[in-house]
Amino acid sequence: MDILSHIALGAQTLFTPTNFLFCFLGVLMGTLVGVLPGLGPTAAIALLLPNTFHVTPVTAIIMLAGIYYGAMYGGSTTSILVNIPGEAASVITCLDGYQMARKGRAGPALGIAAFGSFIAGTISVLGLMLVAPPLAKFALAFGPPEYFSLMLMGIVVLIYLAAGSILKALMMAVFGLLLGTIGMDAISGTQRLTFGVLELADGIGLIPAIMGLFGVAEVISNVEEEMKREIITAKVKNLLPNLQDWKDSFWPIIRGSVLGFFIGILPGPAPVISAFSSYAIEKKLSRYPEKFGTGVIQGVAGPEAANNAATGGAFIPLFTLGIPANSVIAILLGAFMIHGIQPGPMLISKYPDLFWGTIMSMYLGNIMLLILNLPLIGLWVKVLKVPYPILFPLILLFCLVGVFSLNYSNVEVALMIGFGIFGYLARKFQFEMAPLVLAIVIGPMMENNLRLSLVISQGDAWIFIQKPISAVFIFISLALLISPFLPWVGKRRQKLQEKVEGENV
Amino acid sequence: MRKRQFTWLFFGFLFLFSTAPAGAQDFPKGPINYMNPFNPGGEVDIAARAMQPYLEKNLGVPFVINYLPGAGGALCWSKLSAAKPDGYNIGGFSIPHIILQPMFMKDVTFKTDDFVIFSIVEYTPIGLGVKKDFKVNTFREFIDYCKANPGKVSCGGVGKFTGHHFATLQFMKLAGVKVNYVTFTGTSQVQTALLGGHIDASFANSTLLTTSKDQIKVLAIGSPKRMVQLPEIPTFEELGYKMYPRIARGAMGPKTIPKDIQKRLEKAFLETTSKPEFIAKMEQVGFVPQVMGIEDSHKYLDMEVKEHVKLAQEFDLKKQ
Amino acid sequence: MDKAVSYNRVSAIFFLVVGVFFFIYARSVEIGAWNEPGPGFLPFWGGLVLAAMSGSLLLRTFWGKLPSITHSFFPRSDSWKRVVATFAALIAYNFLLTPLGFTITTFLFVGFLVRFIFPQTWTRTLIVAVLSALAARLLFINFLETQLPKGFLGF
Repeated sequence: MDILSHIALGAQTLFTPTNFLFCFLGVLMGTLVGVLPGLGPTAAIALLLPNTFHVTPVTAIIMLAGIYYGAMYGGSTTSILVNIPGEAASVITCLDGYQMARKGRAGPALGIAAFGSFIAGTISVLGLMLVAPPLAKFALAFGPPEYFSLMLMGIVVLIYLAAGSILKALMMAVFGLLLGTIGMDAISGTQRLTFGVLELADGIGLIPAIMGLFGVAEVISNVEEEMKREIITAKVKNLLPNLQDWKDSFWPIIRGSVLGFFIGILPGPAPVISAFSSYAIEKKLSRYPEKFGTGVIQGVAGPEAANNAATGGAFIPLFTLGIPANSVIAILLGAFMIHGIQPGPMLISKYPDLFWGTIMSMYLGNIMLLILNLPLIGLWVKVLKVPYPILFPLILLFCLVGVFSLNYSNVEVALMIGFGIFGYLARKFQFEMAPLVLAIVIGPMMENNLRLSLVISQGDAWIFIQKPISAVFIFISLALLISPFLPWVGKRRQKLQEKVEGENV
Repeated sequence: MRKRQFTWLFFGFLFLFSTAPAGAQDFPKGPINYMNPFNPGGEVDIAARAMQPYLEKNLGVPFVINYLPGAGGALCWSKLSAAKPDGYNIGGFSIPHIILQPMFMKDVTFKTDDFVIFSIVEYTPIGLGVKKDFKVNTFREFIDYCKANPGKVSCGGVGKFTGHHFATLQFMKLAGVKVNYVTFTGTSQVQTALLGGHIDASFANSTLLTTSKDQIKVLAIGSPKRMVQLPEIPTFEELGYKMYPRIARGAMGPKTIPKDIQKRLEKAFLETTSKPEFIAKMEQVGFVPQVMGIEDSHKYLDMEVKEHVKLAQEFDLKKQ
Repeated sequence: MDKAVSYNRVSAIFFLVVGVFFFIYARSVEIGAWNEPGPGFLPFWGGLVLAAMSGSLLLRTFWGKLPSITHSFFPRSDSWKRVVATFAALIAYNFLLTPLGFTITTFLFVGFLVRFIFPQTWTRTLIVAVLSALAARLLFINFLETQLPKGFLGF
């Protein structure tokens, strides 16, 4: 059968000592980079790219791809342990993952994140193998109107993430949208609210915002509460997920993987969108949605699976159309071109060993990640045992260096501190951080696509309904918006809300 | 007494010489920092990465590529114009961006003549591509369609006050039509939109047109003669429209770098860009490689400045 | 005044001001037309919506029912000192990083926080500060090759 011979070709390409080594190096480097907050896969890849000149393109791509998903996984480690997301996609993992850690369940959280990512990665590779070309056409069908509607739906979905007051969550979301307007407007070239500071011309950096709102604010809150002991307040029990955890996580992982894969095909911040869509879905489907946010394993399993699957899906536009889905893939694309490989629809047929070799390396990479990270869980949990008075300066240090090393800018560090103050105060006033961050991520894209759509349609707002895919998203958004107000749904939500608020206090 | 005075004098001279500016013989002593004004994977990056191994061999030191994207390149160039002029801080550029940004963007702290260009390494002519199912097959038909549907044809490009924007404006003036310029933030966005049929047309880089030529219809190209990579595509000139839009890229540094260091860098770039393997690699993906030194590059820059000042007046654009 | 009322009132007013600010700011840049929305388009509508929502929250503090809040603003009487000190340390780090260089600034930062927030012994402080500064330097500057400032002493 065709597929089997392809797999054989891929395996043959992969299992040479060089490729094996580079795969391992990539995954290792990626995990390290992912764990260090602020340094993203882009930095690691850019760092290692020159070293790939002396090896074949296949080897280069294998290593670079390894860095990519290594970083995705590493990001969840810090989210769970210290509530600092490694990158935007890991913000969701903080919600329940960190709470699990505080309850002494850091091990199972890390474990299920690892296994979930592995399973998701495998599923997405399968998907990549089997359905790449037809799916690519699907991705092309998304233009500005479709993107806008998708993002709009994303914002509406944010409401379901709210553990507390919907109104307050919405306010944070709109605030995030407004903050997203700061910077040079891409379409007209006007500077908005930059006050002459050139660093702001690209808008509020996502990393300073995340590190400030989650990292700094969390640490300061803990410092205030005189947390003299360790982060973990309960005894650390098992290091791995138990049977019950597996039972609870099975379907979330499957759902997350499929969801993540399909969303990942679309160019754009796919891992972020997949992660919080998965969270919202799991919360909706769960029998006790009010427990989300207090440390439920489904809240970790689903999103983690989703964001890993999205990374697999992101390779599809690369291999089939030569279009990068995000900045990391853009580097890979550049690497292709430097090695003289022309990207485009002919890529798979002209360079089968490259394509299949990369796919097999993804399987291998996922396995390596698992083997690499599981034993480390014990180590990470030990880190949590360091007394907080000594640990917290180090956490803050990582935040500072992480942000500074992005663009060597003191302005961004100042921004982070500013967000830290805001986040600290927001907690006191009972406002949630996640909607704000996600709005800052999605906001600019949403605005861009809104305006692009209106320019293309020359002011005709009906374009959003006329295009079928876009119409579907709009419809879902409306349904989600209206449902809390429908009598029977509204009552249930109110009951839940009271229960949650009762518990929180 | 005399001996002591002599000793002081001797050490004094030594000290003076040791703090004197390094001559070209000592340059380069350490790694060279190349600032990329755009994101990794873009056209500037590809050219830089392709040159990197040759440059490192030629100069004998690491050639480190750093990314300082932002504000369409303005962030990097602002920093570069204020960088230490010792030859260790250089960067990439795009013409006409470095001409148009100081003209039209507020808060930009660099001027076009703050820099010395060591070498223009390549340029990408800008051509017209339309989506596959668009009901025109030649440039003339496209113009007729635009005339029949003023303001309805959507024409995408990257950014405002860039080569693409100006190419579109120039086209509108010469052909006497009005199209709808849609501003995107990156080449891949334009590509996706065009391939997916969400915009009708685009004045795009030759690299995009070469890569996607089977999925779109390329109607014309802005080079003076037909491109090797697109042999069946007529030039604007052939079709009777004297426009040669393009984006040129290369390496530059603050203009106060000592002349002999400038020459050394120029030599390194020229020797790299004249290598046949380098030229072949660039052509394969759609670039038009160039071998231009400081003098030629500045002649080109001056020419482009004049051209764009003229165009800007014709289009009556305002500072943002 | 009931804590829930005061907290929500203050935050509602804050967001109301923000919303109005964006709304007014939008007028100074082009809002644009429906067929060519300008840079002021989103700030205008967004600001309006935010102002409306904050207004509604504010009204609820007067007439509606709000979930109660029992935690006090500052849990313990002197905890505000730690909060302020930590923020001050962060701000100081940002200012001192370039002149003093990475290694020294890190050393001072860690040392200050370990010693003055939850006081540890001087020995412990010194050990932790020195180790962290060195380890961080090794990791970031030597291994990852990040370009962190060298400071006037040159290292």
